[in-house]
Parts: sequence; C-alpha cells; structure tokens
Amino acid sequence: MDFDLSKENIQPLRGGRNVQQLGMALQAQTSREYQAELLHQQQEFENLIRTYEGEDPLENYYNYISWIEQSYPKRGHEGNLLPLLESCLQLFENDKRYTNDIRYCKLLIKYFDTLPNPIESYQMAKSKGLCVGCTDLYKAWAYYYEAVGDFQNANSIFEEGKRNLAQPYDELEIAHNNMIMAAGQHLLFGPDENRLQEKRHALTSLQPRHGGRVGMVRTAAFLSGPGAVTGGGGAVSRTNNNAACAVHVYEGAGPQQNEAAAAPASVIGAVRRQDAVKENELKPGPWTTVPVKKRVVGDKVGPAFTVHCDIPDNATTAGASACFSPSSGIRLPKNHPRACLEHYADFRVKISYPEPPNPAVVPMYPKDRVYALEDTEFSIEELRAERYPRGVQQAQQSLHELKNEIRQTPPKEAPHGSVQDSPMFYQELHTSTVVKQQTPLPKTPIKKQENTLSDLRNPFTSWGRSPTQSDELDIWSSPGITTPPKSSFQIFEQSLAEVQPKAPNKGSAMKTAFKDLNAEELAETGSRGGMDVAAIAHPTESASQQRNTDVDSPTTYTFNLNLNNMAVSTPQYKRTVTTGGQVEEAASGQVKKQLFAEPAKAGPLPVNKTADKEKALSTIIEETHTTYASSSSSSGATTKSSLYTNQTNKMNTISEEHNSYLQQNMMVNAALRSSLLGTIMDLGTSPAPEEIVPPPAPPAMPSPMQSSPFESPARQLPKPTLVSPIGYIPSDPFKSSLINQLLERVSFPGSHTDGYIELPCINKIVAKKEPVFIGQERYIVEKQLGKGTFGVVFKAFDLTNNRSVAIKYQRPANKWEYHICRELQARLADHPLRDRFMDVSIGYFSDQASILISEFMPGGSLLDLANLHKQRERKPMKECLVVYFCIQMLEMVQVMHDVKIIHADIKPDNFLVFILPNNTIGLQLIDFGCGIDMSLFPPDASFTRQVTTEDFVCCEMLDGRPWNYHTDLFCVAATAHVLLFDSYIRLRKQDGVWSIMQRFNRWMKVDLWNMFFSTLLNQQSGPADTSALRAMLDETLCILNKDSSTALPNQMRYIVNLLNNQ
Amino acid sequence: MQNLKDIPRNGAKILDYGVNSILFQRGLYPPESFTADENYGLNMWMSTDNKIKEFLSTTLGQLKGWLIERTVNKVALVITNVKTLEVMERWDFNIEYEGDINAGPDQTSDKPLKQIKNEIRDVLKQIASSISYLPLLDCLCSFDIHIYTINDVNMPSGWAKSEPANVKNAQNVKMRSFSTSIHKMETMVTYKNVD
Repeated sequence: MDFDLSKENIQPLRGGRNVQQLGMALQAQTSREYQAELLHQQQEFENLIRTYEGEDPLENYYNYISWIEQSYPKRGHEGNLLPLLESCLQLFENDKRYTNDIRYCKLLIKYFDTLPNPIESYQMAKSKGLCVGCTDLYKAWAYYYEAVGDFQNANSIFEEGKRNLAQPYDELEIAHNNMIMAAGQHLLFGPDENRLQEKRHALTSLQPRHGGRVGMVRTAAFLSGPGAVTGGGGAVSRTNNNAACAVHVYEGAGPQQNEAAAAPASVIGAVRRQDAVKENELKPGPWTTVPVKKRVVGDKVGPAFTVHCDIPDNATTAGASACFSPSSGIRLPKNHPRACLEHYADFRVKISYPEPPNPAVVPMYPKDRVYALEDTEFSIEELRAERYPRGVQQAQQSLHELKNEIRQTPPKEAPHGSVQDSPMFYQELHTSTVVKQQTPLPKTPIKKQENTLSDLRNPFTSWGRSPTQSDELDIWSSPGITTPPKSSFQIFEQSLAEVQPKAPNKGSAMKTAFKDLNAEELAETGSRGGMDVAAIAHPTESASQQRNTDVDSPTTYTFNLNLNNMAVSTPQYKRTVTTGGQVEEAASGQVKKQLFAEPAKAGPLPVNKTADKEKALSTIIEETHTTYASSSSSSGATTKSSLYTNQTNKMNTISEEHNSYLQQNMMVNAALRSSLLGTIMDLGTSPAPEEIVPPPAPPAMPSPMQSSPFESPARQLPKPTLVSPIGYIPSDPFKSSLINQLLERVSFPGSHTDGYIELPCINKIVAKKEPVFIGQERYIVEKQLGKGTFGVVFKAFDLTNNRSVAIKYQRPANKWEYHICRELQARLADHPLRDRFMDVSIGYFSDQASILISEFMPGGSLLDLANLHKQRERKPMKECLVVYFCIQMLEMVQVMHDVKIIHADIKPDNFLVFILPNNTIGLQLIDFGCGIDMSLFPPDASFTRQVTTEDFVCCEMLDGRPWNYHTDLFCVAATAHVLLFDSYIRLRKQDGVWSIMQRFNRWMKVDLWNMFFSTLLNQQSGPADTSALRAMLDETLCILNKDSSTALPNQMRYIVNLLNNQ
Repeated sequence: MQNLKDIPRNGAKILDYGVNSILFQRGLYPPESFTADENYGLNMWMSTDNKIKEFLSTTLGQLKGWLIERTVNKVALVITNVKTLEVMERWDFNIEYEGDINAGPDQTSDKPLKQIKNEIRDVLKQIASSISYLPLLDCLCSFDIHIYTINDVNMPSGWAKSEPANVKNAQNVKMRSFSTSIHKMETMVTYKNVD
C-alpha cells in the first residue's frame, strides 16, 4: 500500500491505525464504490446506536468513534467526529455507570486534546469527579504540563492520581517514574526549551493543532539525553534509573496547580461554550506591554466594566444622549428635525406580491385565499371556519375537486381547494362523516358507487362486486353499529351530539374514519368515477380487519386515534405524512398504512403501482407469523383482501431476513458454540477406541445420485483420525471448552496437515480489486457473499490455482469446522458421494482469526434456488423436484451419519446446488461449524443441550429428550417443508405425536408427505430409519414421472436452465 | 555494471540506513543524537551514539559475509518495551536472491545503478512516512536485530539463537521492494494495533 503518497492526509493516532481501514479510507477519496461502502458502514453504526436497548449504550458509541477515527484519517469535517464526541460525552456525562469507565475516559481525552486549553478542561473534569479513577486521565493531563516543562505540576497530578487510586495503578506508577526520569534529565542536561517544546508538541498534537503544524519528531521527552541507550545485542542498561535522585527537581518554585473553584454543572457544556465563538483564528499578539492575565474557567470574576442600569427618573433634559455617559454622548446636529412632517396615516404595505403564474411551481397551501386581501393574511383555520357553515355542499365540492386534481398527472396551478388543499382534506372527511350519519343512506347509491369504482384500474376493484363486501359496507354505514371515537370530533361536538349514542367499540374504531369517508362519498356523488386511493383501500382493509379484530385490535385502535387526531388538529400537510409513517411502524404487518401513506406523499400515484412495488420487495413469502392466516372464513372478497395483505405483510423484514441467510446461519453457529449452558459431566465408562469403517460404496446408487463433476483435490486424503473417545457424555456438544478439549484430543490438525497453514497474523479481508496475500497464496477478493457476527464469506479468485473459491473468514478462529470437514473427507475417501460434502482445500489459522478456502459454487444455495423459482413462477417448486431433493438429502445425511458425523445445522441455505454433467442437479452440504464427531464420544452418546433458535429445532429438543442423529433428520424434514410450502415449518403436538401445521394441497401426494413428516418428526424410538422412506420417495417419483406434466426430467431441465441463465 | 562485492555492501549499507532511519523516526533515541547524511538524494539520519554505531557495525559486518554466502533470508529489527519485554513492532527485511546461484563472487548486475538507487530511495521514503499510521511508542523501548539464516550456518561468538518475535494483535504493512537483480529486498512492518 502506498501510504507515502498520502501521508500528509493521515493524522497520526496514539494507538496506530488499522491498515485495512486506512487503505479503504484512502481509496474512498477517489473511488465512489469505496465511498459508498464507507457510508454504508457508517449507517450501520448509526442504526446500531439508534436501536440499541441493552445495558451498555456507550459501547456502540465507542466503537463508532473509533471507527470514524480510523476511517477518516484526515480528521476533517467529513467524519463529523467532534460533534459526535461532544454529544456522546454529554449524553453519558451524568451516567453513574460510566463515571470511571475506561472507554469514557478515552473519549474524554480525545475530546480534550482537540481543545485549545486542555489543562483547564482536565481540571474541570477532575473537580466534577469524571474519570478520577482512570490512569489515562492523569497521564494525558500530566503530558500537558510536561510539555511546557512544568514538572512540578505534572508531579502533583500524578500524586493526585495515586491518591485517588486510579486504575490500573501500576501503569500510573510507571508513567510517574518516567516523568520523574524526564525531569531528572531536564535538570542534568539543561533545559533546552525549544527542543522540549517541539517534542512535546509532537506527542500531544496527535490531534491537529490550530496552527496546523505537526511535529516532525515523535520522541518521548523522557528518552532525551545521552546515556539513555538501551541497545539490543550488546545491551546497555539505563544508568540513572533511580527515581530518588530525581525528586529534588521539584524543590524549585513553580505555580501551584490551580484547582477549579467549583465544578460546573456540565463539563462538556462549559468547555464547549468557551469554545463556541472562534471566527478569528488569528492568535492574539501583544497589543500593549501589559501582560494579559489568563482567565481560569470556573472563576467567577465580575466584569471589569459597570453594567448599565436604567435610571428610573426622567432624564429628558439630557435629550437623546441621556443614556450614554455624559462625557461622550451623541451630539445631534443643529438642524435635526424633532418630528416627522409627513403624514403616513393611510400608508399600507402590501404583505404579499403575487408571483406570475408558473406551471412548474405548485404552492402547498391555498395561497390565493390566504392572501386574498392586500394587507391581511388569513390563517388556514380562518379559511376553514369561513367555509364550515356553508355545510356539506361546499365540502363535497371541494372534495370532489380534490379527487379530480389528484387524477391529473401533471400538477397545475389549480383553483382553490385543489391539491394544495390537502391539509383540509381530512377535515372535510369528517365534515362529511357527520352528514352521512345524520342521514342514513338508502342502499341503492352504494351499489351504484361500487360499480363505478370497479372501473378504476386498481387491484381492489373486485371487492366492490362481491355481495359480501357490499353487505359489510352497508352494515357500517348504519350509524348504530359504528360510531366515531369521541376524541376525533371535538370540533363538531354539537352536530354530533345526538348521533353519538354510545362509546365506540374498539373493533370498529379502525373502520370509522375511512368507512365514513367512503360512505360519505357514496352519498355525495353517485356517478363519479374517481375516488381517492385511501378511500378505496379502506373497505378492503376493514373487511379483513373485522375478522381479525380480536387479534390486533389494540394496535388498530391506536392507529385510528392517531389518524383522527391528525385529521382534526393538524392542518400541516407534512405532519399527516409522518404520522402515517409512525403508525405504519406501530402496527406492523398491516397494509393499510402503507397504502395510506403512499398517496399522501405522492399525490396522484396510481394504486397498482404501489402494489407492484410492494410485491417486488420480497421474493419469498413467509407467513409464519401472520395473524391473517388466509382468513379461514368465507367470501371471495375477504380472501382477496387477505391475499393482498399476505403479500405486503412484513415485506421489508422478510426480504431482509432472506438476504442474510448466511448471517443468520453464522449467528446460529456462534450462538451454539458460545452457549454458556452448563455442562453436567456425567462420568461414564471409557470404552475402547472404536474403529470407524468407511462404509463401502453402495454397489448401485439410486438413479439421481451421482458423483459431482468436480475434481477431487490433488492432495492425498489421509487416514481418518483414530482417537479414543472421551470418557463421558457432555450435555452440550457445542460448548467451546469441550470443543477445545476435543481438538486437543485429536491433536489438531492431526493428520490433516496438508493445507493447514498457521500464520502469525491474518489481516481483515475486504472486497477490493487488487490481489491480497493470504499466506503464500494470492487472491482477488471479489465480493461479499454473506456476513455474520463472527465471520464473513467472500467470493474470491485464487490467482495461484486460477479458480474461484469461497473464503470463509472467521474471528475468533474456528478450527473445529476445518477438522470436521477434513475428517469427513478422510472417512469418505472412497465413497462416490464424498464430493457432496464441503471440503476445505486450505485453512489459514492465526491466534485471532481463521480463513477457510473452499470451492465456490456459482449455483447458490437451495434456498436461493427456491426463491428464484418462486420469483419466476410465483409458486413453490413442483412436487417431483421436492421429492428428488428429499431423496438427495436423505442419502447424503445417511452417508454422513454412517461415518459418525452429525451436521447439526442443516437448513436450505446450507445446501449448495450445482449442475451435474448429466444435467441434473446435485446438492453439496456446507458449513460444518457446529458439526459433531460422534466417534469422539462413547457409543450411543446423546445430548440434552437445547438450541433456542427459532426454526429448525428438532422435536427432541422441544420435548427435552436426549438427541443425537435425530436433529439432522428433522432438519431435512424442515428443509423439505420450506421447499414444498415456501414457509418455515410449524409444529403441532397432539397426543404425543408431532405433526406439521401446514395443510397439504389437494394435488399433493398426501400419503407420502404424511409418512415423510411423521417419520422424521417422531423419532422417539431412536433416529428414524430412512431407507423405507427413501424407497417410498423413489416410488412416488416413478409415479410422478409417468405423467409428463409432473415428470422430473422436464422440471429438472427448467431448473437447470434457470441456474444457467442466472 | 557492478560486481557482487558492491551489492552486498550495498545491501548491508541499505540496512544500515534503514535501521538508523527507523530508530530516528520511531523516536527510540533522542533526535539530537542523529546527524543528517545525504545519500540517495535523501537526508538520512544516522546515529552518532557510539554504542549504537558499534553494535550496528558488528552486526551488519557479519551480515555482509552471510549475504555473499547467500545464507541469510531475513533480517528483522525488533522493537521491544524495556519494562514489559513485550514486542511492540517488528520490521522485516526479506531477502531473496536472484540471478545465477552458482555464479560466485564475481557475479555482475546489469541493472542501471540509477534505477536501483531510485528503488532504494522509495523504500526509505516509505519508512519515513510510516509514522503517519504507526502507533505512538510512549514507553521506553529498545531494539534488537534478528537475522534469519538457513540452517547450516556456524554461529559466530556473541550471537545467540532467539525465539521469533511475534507481535500480538498484529497489523502488517508491506512496503515496496527493490531489487538489484542479484538481491531482492522486501520491507514489511508489523505493529501492535491498540483497540
């Protein structure tokens, strides 16, 4: 890396810089790509801070600040470091947890170092009691005294630190002794003020000085002077390493350390105030010979001048100059006019000059009405009030106009009551509400309206025709059932008084606002085609809403209240939007706010567009948490609405989830590994080492199973490790202490030394275009495939062997995965399915991190495939494909179990797909991070550790029964479930028998799947025997193959094409 | 054209410059104990402290011999904390041999001297600019020189075998390398990254 070309742009840091971050930051100055990456990381940090709810909020701030320091090496404004530091420090200043926190102390020092007068700031912090227990504070503080050669004060600061028992104490002592040493040398060799100054500047000016000069020499002062040589080889020890003789230095007179009189309420606040005005960066030079007294902060000295006070008696005699000092008052000219001679009584200033009409500019309020008179400005409320008594007719008309306006695509200068009127929109809705309730409508106009509605191009047109729907509408429009909540109608109290017979019931609360609007519209215009989007959306919404009232009524209720409040009390256009947004968050998983907010923002936006956009958000629809549950009940209309709901429901979160499979995956791994659940050490008998016999290759593989096309690595496969199992069965096979113990037992890396490379350090990997060295090999890291808390997976190109590889970078190092992968390969040495399991070609290990190199599969994971299919076809995979994959998976799991290895983390994203030479699809199992090597445990060992992650927890764990091979088989079932139904498995236990909650479609092979799931979900009598299951699957496949529409080869061809075109 | 005799001397000389400028830049010894020495178009700071001079001249003198014999593959300058003996920083100079292995001491290089000098200057410049990202050494530090040789080398008196000096929580930065078409030297610094 060529740092020498940009060294002027790098501010030195006390702790040094991280090379990777520095490299990236420097590249970001020219490359847009890196800049975007930086911004992205920054946003992540900010998000973390915003959403953090745990015990230690400082942690995130600290990390963020450190990151900024590293990533914006210029320390300029772009990093925004100072304001952040300030706000962070202020935020936690009075937090008792952090008073003596070492991180807080570091931040405080960082901040003080940037100030013009750090010593005073330190004094304030000290008297406030901030960080008085931290050694760092005293060290940093004393530096400033040392820098100007004031050893006496530096010493007293260290003494102070010792009195306060600052931690770590030994560091304080070392620093103190160093300072004493420097003082001694200072005395012995004479004070060379300039030199000292410069050196100390270098030390303290790690942060930029205002002069902008960075010291060239960065030597600590205590090292100065000859005789301080400590050379290697012919080592010379320090001669005057004697603190006692140096103490005398302090006898000299010096200014006593000033204690701040009283601690200010907020140190940061005070410091900042002091720092606030600095327009003139020029240092003040001596104006006179009188020395300028240095002001001490916190010193309450009165001002040198007298503050002027008004004198109550009349001083008219002195005229205009009365309030000034008599000596130098204002002298008025002789001919000064005493009074104005002209008459301005009817002079009016226009408050508004109308602009020429401009089609490109749309005022967001009814400008022409607000400024209707030359010298008066009407408020919005006034305008409303004026309009109100005119009643319904008016309201309807304006609403009508509004609608028309919305439908016009090019925004135009409109007559009053157009788009600009939108603040009044809701107002009017309510007005009309009242009307409607006063005059219940006959049914006919409703029908009519619905028909016109259906002309609109939007996905909801269908509801209108449905008889059920219109019935519901009808119900709502009768005032007896639904009444608006009181809060929203304060203004209209009078007119409402008689129509408000009872308190609103919570279920219907949701509907009122919108439904009323709807009904009202019906009333006003039977023949109008246009209708507001929100109004349209609502009946649909409420249709499904009604059915789910009991489920989410609380949320709905608040939402409604918000809405109503907003409508009545806020004329501002903006506010309505934001409220809508909040509500959206509050009641998650509900369509209507989306719909509601969208038109409000965008004005004339066609509905179908919104809908489309939302569909595009996610590829897979995961309905596990939905409360709608395809709405069990009735009518076509309802089903339709809930269908739509399903699609928008939780879109954002879902798509995110699915974008980060690997992250999830890794987090699960990590959670498993680091679990702190206690191990109950059951001491058992230690059986003799058991030889693992690699299973002989099956003579005839079932047709779909085939060895992968990939060449097996050139390296020799060693014999599988034979190690006697440990003498007991732990309850938790993932515990890190156990893993370490096992690694020792197999004397890791054991026989798998080929490709095992230990490195002194592993640098962090980032995707960039230039090649990086890992060990002796060169790689070009192309892109990040996935990310978790402990590791990242990259796609890379191996320049040494000219092939694409996947790089799994983990921190801390994960040796276990390497071991399991290699051991599995060794045990399956001659097995045709060996290539179906991930092999690690090279593993790099250091004491902090590890990198595993494995083959890159362009096909992606099984989950990617399922999503891709879903995206293209809008439905889950064909059954025959699922059957095919089940056979494959069961086969692979069986092979793996035969050699006594449990994967323990099987899920769709851990199967990679690739295309076999005969154009069928093969699977490869990856990620053995939580693998279990059963040969290291006594025979028939089983575990009781319960994994608490959501899906893919096997029934044994749920039941609290011991498990071993069960979990993999269960997970195969869960994976099949995902493929079959596009949703994660949901379980149900009835009479001690587990089954899935999902209903089968009628065209499915129900018998097969019932058998399949019941076998794999209920393994109470030991791990299920899969051979029968496989036979059954094979048989089904044969049957399916007979019909060309369901035949496997056709589907397979489709999938292969899908993968090839990707 | 130069012959091999010059090159190893160059190699040792370059190391001398390199070590001195590191000692100066990293502030291991007080700056007034260095004097400027113009070379390769740069101001080199050379230590005037007798003990350092003596130590370096014996070490590098030995190194010179080994370079001719082609037995050295790495020279490391290790900076340790005097109090805790912790390794703070390590500067590696990896040496590779190019050209004909059996050519003997009369081997010549046809790379222009000017180009070699330019390359050397760039490396020394990089060393000087490293202070912008290296951490501040705010403790008493000393240095040592480790020479990595191939196995069958007789150890002269005054030398001892040592453990490899590994830096904890290490960051490392590779610098440019230069080559005289007989030797190729690659510089790398490894340092401790705090927090």
